[in-house]
Amino acid sequence: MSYPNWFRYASPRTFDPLAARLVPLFALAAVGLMLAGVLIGLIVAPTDAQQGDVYRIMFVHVPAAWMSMLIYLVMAAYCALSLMFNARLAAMMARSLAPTGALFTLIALLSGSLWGKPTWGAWWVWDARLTSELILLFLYIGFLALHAAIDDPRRADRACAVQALIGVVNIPVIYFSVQWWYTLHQGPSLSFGSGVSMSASMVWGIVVMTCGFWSYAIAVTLARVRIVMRARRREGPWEAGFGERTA
Amino acid sequence: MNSLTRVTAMLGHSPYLAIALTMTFALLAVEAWHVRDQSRACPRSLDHTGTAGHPDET
Repeated sequence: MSYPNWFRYASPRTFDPLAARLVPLFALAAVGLMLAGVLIGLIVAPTDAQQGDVYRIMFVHVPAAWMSMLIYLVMAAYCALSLMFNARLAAMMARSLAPTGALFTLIALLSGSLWGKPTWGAWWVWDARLTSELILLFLYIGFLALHAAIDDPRRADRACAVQALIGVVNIPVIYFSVQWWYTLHQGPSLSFGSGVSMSASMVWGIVVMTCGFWSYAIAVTLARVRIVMRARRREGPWEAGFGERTA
Repeated sequence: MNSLTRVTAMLGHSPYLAIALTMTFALLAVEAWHVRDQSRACPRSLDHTGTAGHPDET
């Protein structure tokens, strides 16, 4: 009985063509799902009785906020793999995820401000949820800045992995902040076990847009990791010739 | 057609919503465009500077 070789795609040489094939598929899925999410959010979902149409910002704000946390968790997992197994591809994946994670965090913060102004009367409050999300943005920026500051990519990978793993403590703080402290920010939009307090079309709008954002993140990350692999192949002897070797 | 008119009117009456949607998709498009540009530039530069070193990948 033969077992599948799970480490086959841990080699840049075998991962590169797979990534090249997956990028257009996920890009197409992202465009389709985001378009569907916008149509559900703007046409199918009903107007909110209290907030009017401005609540529809939720269809980009909530998925962006979820993605900001999820991408950080995936990035931290890759960092852990990179430290435990000295896996170069895991470190490159973490490096490639960081800019997209930072972008989703920025979108969550900006769209939240645009929602907060008409509903709370303020662009920004030093609320636990908002502050911890801002710290997440700083963690992403710190990760990218630290990577850029160290010339040797292997040393940069290790230093950034440690920083990312320390910063992961902020994710449960963001998620549970609305339950642990009295905050101006509303409670979870969808919570497991306590049911859903919004209409089905609203839930579907959020879920479809989240799938679209997730597909987008995968497509962009895979495209970026191919760039990183080529850059390292060009710059460092460790990565040199990965294209010529078999797995 | 009716839906399009309704959505246009809704976005006109809710500038915060219109700005949030425009900003979100503009930022995503800019990032995707940037990565696409880098991706196109990268293989060409490798043709000229790609090196053959000693792979110690294990």
